[in-house]
Amino acid sequence: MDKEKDNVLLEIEHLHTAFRINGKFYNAVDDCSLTLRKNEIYAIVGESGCGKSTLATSIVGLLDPLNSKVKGSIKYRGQELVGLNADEYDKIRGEDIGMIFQDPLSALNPLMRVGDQITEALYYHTKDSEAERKKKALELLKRVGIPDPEGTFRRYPHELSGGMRQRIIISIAVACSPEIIIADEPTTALDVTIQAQIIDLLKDIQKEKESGIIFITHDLGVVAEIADRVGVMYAGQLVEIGSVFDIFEDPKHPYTRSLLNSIPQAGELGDRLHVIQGNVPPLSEMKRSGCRFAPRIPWIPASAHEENPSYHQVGDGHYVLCTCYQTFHFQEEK
Amino acid sequence: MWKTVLRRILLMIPQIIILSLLVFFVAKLMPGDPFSGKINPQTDPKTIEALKHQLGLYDPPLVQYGHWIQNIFKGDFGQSYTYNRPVLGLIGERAANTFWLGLLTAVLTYAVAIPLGLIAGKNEGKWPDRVIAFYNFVINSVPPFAIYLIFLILFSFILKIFPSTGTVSASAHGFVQIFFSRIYHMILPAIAMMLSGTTAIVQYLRSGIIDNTKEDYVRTARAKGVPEKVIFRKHILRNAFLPIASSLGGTITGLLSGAIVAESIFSYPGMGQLFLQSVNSRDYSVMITLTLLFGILTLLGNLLSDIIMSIVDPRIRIQ
Amino acid sequence: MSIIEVKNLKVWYPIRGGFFNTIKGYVKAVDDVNLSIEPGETYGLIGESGSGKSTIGKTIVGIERPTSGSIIYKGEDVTKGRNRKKLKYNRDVQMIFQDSLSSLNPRKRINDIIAEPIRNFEKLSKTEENHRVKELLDIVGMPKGSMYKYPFEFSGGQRQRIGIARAVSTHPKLIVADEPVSALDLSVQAQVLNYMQDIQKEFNISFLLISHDLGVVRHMCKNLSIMTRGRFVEVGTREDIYDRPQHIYTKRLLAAIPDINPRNRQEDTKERLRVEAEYENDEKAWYDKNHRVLDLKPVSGSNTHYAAVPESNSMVEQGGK
Ligand SMILES: Nc1ncnc2c1ncn2[C@@H]1O[C@H](COP(=O)(O)OP(=O)(O)O)[C@@H](O)[C@H]1O
Ligand SMILES: Nc1ncnc2c1ncn2[C@@H]1O[C@H](COP(=O)(O)OP(=O)(O)O)[C@@H](O)[C@H]1O
Ligand code: SF4
Ligand SMILES: [Mg+2]
Ligand SMILES: [Mg+2]
Repeated sequence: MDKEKDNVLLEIEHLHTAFRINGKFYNAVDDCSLTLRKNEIYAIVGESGCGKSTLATSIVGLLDPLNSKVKGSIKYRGQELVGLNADEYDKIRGEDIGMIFQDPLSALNPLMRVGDQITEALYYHTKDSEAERKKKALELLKRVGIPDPEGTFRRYPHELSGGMRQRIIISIAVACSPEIIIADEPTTALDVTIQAQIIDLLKDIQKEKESGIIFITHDLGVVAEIADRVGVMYAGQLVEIGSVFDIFEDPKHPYTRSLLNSIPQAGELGDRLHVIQGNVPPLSEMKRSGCRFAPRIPWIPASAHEENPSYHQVGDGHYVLCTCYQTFHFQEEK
Repeated sequence: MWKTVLRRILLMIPQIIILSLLVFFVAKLMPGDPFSGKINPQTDPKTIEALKHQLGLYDPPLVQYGHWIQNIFKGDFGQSYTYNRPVLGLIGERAANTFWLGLLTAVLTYAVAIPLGLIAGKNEGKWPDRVIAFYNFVINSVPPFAIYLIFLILFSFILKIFPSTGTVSASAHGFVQIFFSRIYHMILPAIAMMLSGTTAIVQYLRSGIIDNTKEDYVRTARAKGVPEKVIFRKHILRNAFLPIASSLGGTITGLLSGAIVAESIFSYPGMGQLFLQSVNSRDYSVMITLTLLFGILTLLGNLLSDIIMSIVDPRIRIQ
Repeated sequence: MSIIEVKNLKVWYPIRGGFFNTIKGYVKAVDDVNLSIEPGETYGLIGESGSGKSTIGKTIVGIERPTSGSIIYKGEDVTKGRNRKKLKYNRDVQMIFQDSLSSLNPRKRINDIIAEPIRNFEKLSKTEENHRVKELLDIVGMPKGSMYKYPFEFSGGQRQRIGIARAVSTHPKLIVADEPVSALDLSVQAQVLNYMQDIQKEFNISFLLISHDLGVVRHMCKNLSIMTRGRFVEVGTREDIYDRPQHIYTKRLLAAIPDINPRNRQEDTKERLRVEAEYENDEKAWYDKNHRVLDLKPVSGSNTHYAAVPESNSMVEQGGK
C-alpha cells in the first residue's frame, strides 16, 4: 500500500479547465482524472482541439489566469497544485516537473545562447556555482546526444537543426532531474528518423531517472512505440483509458476504434481510407450533455446512445466512457 | 563583420555618384536662377549676363557637373549666392545647430517613448494603456507641421515662454550660460519634433511586449521556473526592443525631414531652414550640397541600422 | 506515354560571400534528377525536410527556374516560357501547398479563390462561373454556402479541400501536391486523400505527391522515389521500395516509421538501432567523397527498381537485405 502510494507521482481528479471566449467560460478540459506513476509513460492521444495541450498546461500552471479557470485537483506527490501562485509554482516547475514543447524553434529564445538557456534552469533550482552549472549543462548536452557540446553551448538556436533544438529543449526539461516530464507533441515537427531518435532518448532518460512521462501526441504509431498507458481524449474528456495493449488490441470506444481505423495501412493501392465524419467542435459549439462523439457516428440510432455516458470498467485498468460500445459498428459494417 | 561594413561603405560610392548626378541635373531643370527677382531691376542686363557667364551658368551641363565634382574634391563646395560666403563654412555652422537639435530631440524622444511603451505594454487593455493609446491617437491625427505651428503660437507668441527664433541669446556669456541658452532656444522645436517621433516607438515597444509575452520561449522560461520579473527583463524586453533597435538608423532620416519643416517654422538656423531657403532662392550650391548630404546621411543611417541589428540579433548577419 | 518527364534537372542556389559578394558555392537543392509520371497515376516523392522535394515541385510548376535540365510536356521543353504559353502549361499543371492558410489569400472569399485560375484561362459568365465553383466545392464535399466565406473560417482539412478545388478548377492534367496532408489530423488526412483519389478517377489527373510520410505514400502511390541531399537514392514500385529496400538511407527511413503494434516495440527498436549503426559505420560507402549520393543503378532482376548503391555492392540483388 505504501509502496503503491510512493509510486504515484501525479494524481489528477475531476479536472476542469475553462477558457473565456466572448465573456463566457467554456471547458476545454471537462472532468478528466488520471494517475501517473513512477516509471510510466502515459500517452494522451486525440485529434487537435481535443484539449490535450490544455490538460498539459493546466498541470504546470502555465495558463493565462485572467482568461482561464482551473477546477478540480492536481496532486504532485500529495501536494495540491491547483490554486498555487506563480512563486510557488516556480519552485516546482523545472525542478519537479519538466516540460517539452512541440515547436523546438519557437520554444527557445532566439537572442540567447543555448548554453545560457540550459544553465538558466539550473540557476533557479540549485546552489551550483557558474562553473558547476556550465559543467552540468555540458554533461546534459552530451547526454541528449549533441555531438559537440562545447561548441553547441555557445551557439544560438537558429544555428541548430530541428532535431538538435529539440534535444536542447529536452536537456532543459531534464536539467534538474524532475520526477515528471510533460511532453506536448515533442516529435510532431520532426522528421521520422529524428522522431525515432527523440523517442529513444526520452525512453532512455525515463528509465535512467525512473521518472514518469505524460506524452501528448496525435500519432497513434508514436503511442504504440512509447506508451505504457494511454488516455484517448475527445472533446475535453478522456473517453478511454487503458494499457497500450488494451487500446491497440481491444479498443472499446467508438472514437478509439475510428482513430485506429483511419491509419493508412499497407493494404491494396488506392483503398479508401476510413474517415471520421465531421470534426472536433470548437469549444463554444460543443455539446455539453450526452455523448460528444455521437454527432460523428450518425448511423448509430439515438436509442443506442446513453443519456450521459459514465465510465465502465471493461478490464483491469481499462475504462471506457460509453455504453453503446458493445453494439457499436462502423457504417460499412452492418 | 568589419569587412562587410567596409564593403557596404564602398558600395555607397556608386550610389552617391548616381545621387549627385540626379541632384545636379534636377536642380538645373528648376525654373529660374539665383538672379530672378533678387537683383535690383535697375541693374544693367548686360552686367547680369556677364555675371552669369562668369559663374559658368552657360557651360554645357556635363561640364558644369565636372567642374562641380572637381571643386568638391578640392574641398570647394561653391559659393552661396544669398549669403555670399563659401558653402562649406555655412553648412558646417548650420549642421552643428541641426546636430544639437537632432540630438536633443532624439534623447527626448526615447526618454519619453520608452517608458510610455513599457507602461502600455505591461498594462495591456487597462487604463494606463488606454491613456497612452489616446495620446498616440491624438498625436497621429495632427500632422507634424501643425504641431509645430501650435507650439510656436501657443508657447512663444501667446505664452511667451520660449523664444521664437535663434540659437542663443546675445546676452549669454560663459560656457554655462551659453549652454543653457542654447538648450532654451532648442527646447520648443525639440519637444514639438519629439511628440510626432514618439508614437511609432511607443507602438513598437507596446506590441513588442504584448507579442513576445505570448511567445513559446517565454512559456519555456516559465516552465523552467524562472521568476516572472526575470522573464520580463531577460526574455521579453530584449526581444521587444529589436524593432526599436532596427529603427534607430532610420531616425536620422526622420529627424532630418522633421528638421526641414520645424526649423523653418521655429526660425531655427539649422540645415533644414537653410535648405528651404536655398530652394526658394535658387541657391544652387547650397541646395545641391545639402541634398547630397541628406542622401549620404540616409545611406549611413541604413548602414547603421544594419550594423546595430547584426549586433543585437544573432540571427541577422549584415549582408 | 508519360504525362511529364523531368530530365537531368538541377536547381542550384548560389551561396554568396566574401568581400566582393561573389559566388562561393552552391546549395544543390536538386542535383541531376530524372522522373516521369504516367497519366492518371500518383507518383510519390519521399524525403526528409531539406532534401529538395519542394524545389522539384516548384520547378515543375514553373515557380522556380532550373539551373539545367529539361521538363518535357507533350514533347516540348516547358522550362522555356514560350513553350509553356503555347501548350497552356500553366493551366494544365497546378499545385497544392502544405500550408493552406498562407497559400490562400486571406482577404478573398472562397468563390474568388477558386475562380481565380478559371478567370485566368477561360472566359465564363458570372453565372457559369458560379455554377462551376459550386460544382467544384461539391466535388470536395464542401457545402455551397462556403462560397462567400473567408479562408480563416475553415478548419485545416477544409482549407486543404478548397485548395484541391482550386487546383482542379482548370481541369489540369497534373497536380503537384506538396505535403498536402502533413499538417492535418489522421482522420482529416484520410478525407483529403480520399478526395484526391476521387478526383483522380473522375478527371484522370496525375499527381506528384510530395510527402515525408512513408505511410501516406505507400497508400497512394504505385511508383515512388526516395530523395536526400537533392538526389534520388532509390526509385521503384511500392513493393520494390517497401519490401526490398536497397539503399541504407531507405532502410533507415523505413526502420524509423513507428509500428502500430505495441508488441513489436523491442524488435523494432533493435532493428532500428542496427540500421542506424550500419548507417553510421558505412555511411561513407554510400556517398562519394563530396557526400554526394551515388548514381542510380538498376537493381538486378527488376526493370522498375533503381538504387544509388556502390559499385562493389554485393547487396544489389533482389531480396537481399
Ligand atoms: N487560450 C485559449 N483561449 C480560448 N480557447 C482556447 C485556448 N487554448 C485552447 N483553446 C481551445 O481549447 C480547445 C482545446 O485546445 P488544445 O488544448 O490546444 O487542444 P489540443 O492540444 O488537443 O490540440 C480548442 O477548441 C481550442 O481552440
Ligand atoms: N530560395 C532558396 N535559396 C537558397 N536555398 C534554398 C532556396 N530554397 C530552398 N533552398 C534550399 O534547398 C534545399 C531543399 O529545399 P526544399 O526543396 O524546400 O526541401 P524539402 O521540400 O524537401 O524540405 C534546402 O537545403 C533549402 O535550404
Ligand atoms: S455509446 Fe454513448 S457514449 Fe458511446 S459513443 Fe455511443 S453515444 Fe457516445
Ligand atoms: Mg496541442
Ligand atoms: Mg518542402
